Amino acid sequence: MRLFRSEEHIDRAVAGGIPRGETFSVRQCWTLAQHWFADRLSPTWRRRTIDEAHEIFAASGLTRPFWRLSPG
Amino acid sequence: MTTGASGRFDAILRLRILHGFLDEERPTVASMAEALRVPVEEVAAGFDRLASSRAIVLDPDTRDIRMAAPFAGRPTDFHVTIEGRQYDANCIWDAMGISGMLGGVNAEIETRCGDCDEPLYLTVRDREIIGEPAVVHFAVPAARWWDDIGFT
Repeated sequence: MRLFRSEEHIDRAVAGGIPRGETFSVRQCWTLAQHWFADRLSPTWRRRTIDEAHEIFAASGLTRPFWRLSPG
Repeated sequence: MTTGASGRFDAILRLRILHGFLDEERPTVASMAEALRVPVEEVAAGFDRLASSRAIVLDPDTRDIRMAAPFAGRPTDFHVTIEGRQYDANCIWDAMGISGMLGGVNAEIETRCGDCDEPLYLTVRDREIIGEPAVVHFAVPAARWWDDIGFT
């Protein structure tokens, strides 16, 4: 996951060979990062279930099929 | 994560690894064995279990920590400065995650545009993120992140 100066810069990178994925805002990423890592220093931390991960994605507005995890 | 005695040890080891990164170290089997005062073989087995549960990612050749999200175990293009301490993150999500993990503390994030390679700067202040205009791009669908966790 990378930061780009603008959508035009993403278009150029895709033309240069990186896969076209999903674009979202810096603020959405910040919301995602806060939720995702909030408990990382907890002694009882465990890897999230897929449903728990999907809830966090949804709270950041990331609900499209691109954000669906698979078991594994 | 495993259960029982090894599960408890792994939980302690995982936390010690993260705190090592917070102290600007690059934790290794040897440094963790010394910090926890246990044999290196025990720590090496713990590293393998943590890697199996995807709590960390090991370099396949050296068995050094490549990722202990949000931290990177080697230099990257995602630099984070918090209270004068400098960290490398694995991606822009993880770069923000270092501050997020610490409750949204003030942080400076420096990375490069994935297209033109020019520097881009973001700042966390009072739990808000500010900075020059930029957008985040995820190249790989979530279901395939672990095909190559080094490229998402």
